[in-house]
Amino acid sequence: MIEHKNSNATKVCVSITRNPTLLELCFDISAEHGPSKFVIFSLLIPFVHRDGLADKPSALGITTGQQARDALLLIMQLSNRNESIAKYIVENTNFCPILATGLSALYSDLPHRLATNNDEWFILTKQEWSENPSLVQFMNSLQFCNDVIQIAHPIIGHHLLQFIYHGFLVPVLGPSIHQDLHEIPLKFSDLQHFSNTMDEVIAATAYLDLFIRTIYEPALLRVFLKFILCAKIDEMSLLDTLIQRISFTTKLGLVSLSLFYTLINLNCEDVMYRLIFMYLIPCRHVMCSQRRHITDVEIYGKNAEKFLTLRPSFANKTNDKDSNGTPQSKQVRVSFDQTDESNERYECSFGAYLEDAHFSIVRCRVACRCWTAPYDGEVPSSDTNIEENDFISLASSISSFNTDNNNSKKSGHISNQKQSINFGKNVAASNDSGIHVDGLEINSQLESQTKPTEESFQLPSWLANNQPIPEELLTKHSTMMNHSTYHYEQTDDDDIDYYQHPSSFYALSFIDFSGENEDTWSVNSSNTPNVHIRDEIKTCVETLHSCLSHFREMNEQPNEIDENIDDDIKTLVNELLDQVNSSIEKFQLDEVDSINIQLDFNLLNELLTKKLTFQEYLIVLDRLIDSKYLTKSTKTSDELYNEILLLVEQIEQYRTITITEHNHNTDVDNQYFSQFIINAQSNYSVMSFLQQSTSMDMSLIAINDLSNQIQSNIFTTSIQPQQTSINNGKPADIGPFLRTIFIKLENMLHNSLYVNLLLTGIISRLAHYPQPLLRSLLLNHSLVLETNVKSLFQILSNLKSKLEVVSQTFNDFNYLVELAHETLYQKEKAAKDLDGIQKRARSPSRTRSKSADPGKERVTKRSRILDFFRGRSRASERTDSNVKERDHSHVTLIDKTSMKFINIRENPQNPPTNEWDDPKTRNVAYCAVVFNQFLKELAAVTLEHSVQQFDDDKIFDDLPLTQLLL
Amino acid sequence: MEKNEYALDYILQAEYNLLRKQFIPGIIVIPSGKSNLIWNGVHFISQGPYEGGVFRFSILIPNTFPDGDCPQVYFSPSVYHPQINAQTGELDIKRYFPVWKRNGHHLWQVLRYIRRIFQKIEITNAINLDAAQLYEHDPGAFLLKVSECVNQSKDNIYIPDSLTSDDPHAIVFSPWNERLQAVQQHLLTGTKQAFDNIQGLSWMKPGVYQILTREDTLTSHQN
Repeated sequence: MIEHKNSNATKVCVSITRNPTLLELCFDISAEHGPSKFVIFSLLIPFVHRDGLADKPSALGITTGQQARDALLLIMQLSNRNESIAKYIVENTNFCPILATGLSALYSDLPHRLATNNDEWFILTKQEWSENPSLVQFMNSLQFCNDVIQIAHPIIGHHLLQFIYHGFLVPVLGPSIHQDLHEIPLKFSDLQHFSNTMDEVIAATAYLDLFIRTIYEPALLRVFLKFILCAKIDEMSLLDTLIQRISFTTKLGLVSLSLFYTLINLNCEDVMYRLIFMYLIPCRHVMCSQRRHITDVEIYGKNAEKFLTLRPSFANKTNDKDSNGTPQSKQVRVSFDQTDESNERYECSFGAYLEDAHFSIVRCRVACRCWTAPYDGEVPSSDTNIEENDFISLASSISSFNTDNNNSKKSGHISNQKQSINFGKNVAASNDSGIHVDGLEINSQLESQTKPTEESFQLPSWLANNQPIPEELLTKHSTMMNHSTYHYEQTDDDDIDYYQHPSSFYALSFIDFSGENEDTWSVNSSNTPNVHIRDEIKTCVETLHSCLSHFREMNEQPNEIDENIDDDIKTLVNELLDQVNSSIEKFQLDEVDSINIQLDFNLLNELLTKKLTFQEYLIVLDRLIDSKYLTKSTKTSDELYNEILLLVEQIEQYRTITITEHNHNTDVDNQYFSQFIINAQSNYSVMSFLQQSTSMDMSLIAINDLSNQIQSNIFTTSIQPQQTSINNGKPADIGPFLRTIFIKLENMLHNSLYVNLLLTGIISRLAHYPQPLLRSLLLNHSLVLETNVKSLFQILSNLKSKLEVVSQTFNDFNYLVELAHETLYQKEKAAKDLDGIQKRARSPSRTRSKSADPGKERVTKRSRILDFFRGRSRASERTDSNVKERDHSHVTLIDKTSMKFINIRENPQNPPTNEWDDPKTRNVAYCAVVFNQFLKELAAVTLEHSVQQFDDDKIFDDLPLTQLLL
Repeated sequence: MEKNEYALDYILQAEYNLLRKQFIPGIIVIPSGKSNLIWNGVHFISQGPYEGGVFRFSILIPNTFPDGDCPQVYFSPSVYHPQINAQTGELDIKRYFPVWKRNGHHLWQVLRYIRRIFQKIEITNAINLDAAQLYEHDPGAFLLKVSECVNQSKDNIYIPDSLTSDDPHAIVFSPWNERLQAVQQHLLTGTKQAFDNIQGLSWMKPGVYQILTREDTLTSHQN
């Protein structure tokens, strides 16, 4: 019945569209006849979110929901030509709010956990999401919103966008992404409720990524970007949170990386400005004298050559490859790709990289034609006043929200005024009433965190259950039509006229947390004079000290671990101290090079893995404070900072131990922990000062997700622009995003394969941008950066030497690299095969929704892996026997992890297969492969830039000419 | 080493791009279709004793470029000029670029030099001593020789250069015909930008460095 009605409605809509005079019958436009009505439209609305895909296919194979949506789209099209219809829809119907709340309802139905069996998953593909009915339903609705915004009258579009932003993104998607992960140590991830939160956040991030990839209507995308770039949730900038998560070593890090890849890949000026250019425009990252070199053009390929020279060469312990009589003892250094042909056969020629770089850069340059500024160091000039607002919102909401914190606490009201967008009349209305966000403040306490969003998100039951508007409401609606407003009573709430005033719609209270979050975020003036630095450090340390003792007190009764002080550990600590001291001495000897002192990695690792007690750390700290170097300049704060981080990690670890041993103690622990955080936060400005010297190896922390809590606090502070500083009172900085990415890159040897693929993918994608500010930073090795900004070259050459050192610990690292190549080749092949299957199975999609095209999406997903081994044609030339040999490992995408093993165990060759069995070893080998490819990629991009930067305007118009001459 | 073959290509392409930016009047030059180490060019002279001359030349670039020797310039056929070898047609380029400096010298400067020798004739250290002497002692006879050379070049304009006959990028002249009208029109009116299906995104206002400040409706985003 319903289907029939709907298809009839569709017919009516088609007729109306064809013959506008019919409209008069359905819709009384003239105002004189009293309230106008458009019954067909109103009747269709309830079916908007119906899917009926799987459960109720109609006779025609088209679903009820789809029919309703198609019919509505016809009306939308009509509204574009007829403003009075648009006005009617906006003012007298609940079309927009229903669409937006529908998204919220459908979103809350999405799986909170994405089932994946392997660690490599980082992006939702069309294939994956189309297997999930609730996700399909959501995507349909999102698609519908997209279409409506595209074809409807701008008034409707604006209205709908407002509702999506304030009714879906900020109150629903926001909290689900922004959930507090602070207190979820990695080791607890198997505990149900911790892993739930983590999974939810991972899923939410993946959803957001998917949405951004799917939306193609700029206005809708704009709202999503506004959400990502500007929104503050729980008083924290969402963007900051997302950036922080890049450094997570869990799957969340992976998902966050892929979200950023998607963002960067949009070629959107606003995104790039916000993430990168904003920080590069002041040119504080380069030496003053170097600023004029930003636009320099290096045409003789020196930079590319430089990249290629960074390719590592590995020493072969067992020199079995070249068995031409060279003595075994002699270490033969061979260049990476000259090692043997076997590597060569997986690697494509440099030409392939160049070709790839060529088209990618052309596409990027073309896309950037619509940008407003060249970002070449001159326009905008380095004196350009970067809007404070941006900095503040970027940094953390803390400073900007500190002032109105109290207000917002009480009224539960986020004002929208800061957002510079003028939304017109409707928006103004919603600004007045604002959004009630008491529910949005996710309490940092554990209990509230674990509350699933849907529990607290109240929608009318019919809406939530995806049912049409209840009959009684409809009857009420029709009877009340004379009043031209739409009243209805919600079952569990007071009489609220939701739809009469769009703004009052927001009064929906989503979550009602009883917990009161104490406002501990006090921020000192950002102008911290240098003279006070020392005192501040002391204060900070003292605070840490006090919380430690606090902690110790609490733990003394149940736990005696403290007492067992290991002598070994003492020596370790001493070593550490000595090292720090010696580096301090170096520094005092004016060896500027050693400013970036890095603590011995292994040593630290050892420290981390052994049970240290706090006592020892306190000793360390005391000695640090006592030693003279604290009185020295700001630069040594590195060490202290490292110490504090270590300490913090230690606390975490200690806590873990305590908890695992005394599960009943959790509460006490949490108590302690919040205490600690409070203290840490109050010393916020000190921390942020410390953070300034960013050269410290953040990877240390990243290694251990236990320290998430602290990490995020520190990150927050790090983002905040501090006035204290090194030159001109402004710190040399490249912004939190690049910094985080670079730090992650420094840690490449310890990253998983997929993190490295994504990470290098992001960096080379960034390198495609032609803007001199960014290009010079990434690709010009002769540009001299400020001392505390590490250049990409520096990082890469460090990695090269690290890799070379590590390779010597294996018997035959070249062979391991070869195995890694082989495995990756197999994976890629498997991915490609699956790709082929998918393409064949692809159902015809709507032509308009380009980004929903499965094939395309697939390409964007896999391109990184696919691109990595472009030498497929060469590889396929291998002997058949070789292929057969591998063939029975029969790999599928889903089961790649196991494939690694199968592949290797079946490998008939005798050399040290056992080395390969160690996951860490494999990882290093993969890293070597990725690193090598990455360098080639960068070299190709650099060469391509040297050619393309000349033709700024005219290059692209020679295509038609050739066509003409043919 | 695989890198080098590409490196040279890229260096030459960059040089060519630089050259295009120079808009050196009266000279067209294009790399040979067979090797990008050979650039074929034509110089149309609009003033001076050689006015009206249309001289073909090729630039031979050493494969060690830009670190090695100077490029060589050969006129084909040879031009009667004190600085040009009458037999081989080689222009003495060393007098201007004694040593090729990778950071100071570019190929477009070679083209500028080619243009210059026909405007201001110098006879010191001449290659073609006859021409130099004639220029110094009997300018009238020199000019006669020159105009002979110029006329010859004009007469031979439609005869394809034998050296570049099998080169797909060879510069070939043909009499004007209507068919070329469209091409001319196309060249003059400019062309539609290619790749206009690729659209980036920006909601920034020019000069206002703040994100998402505009609310324009952008054309559909494609990536």
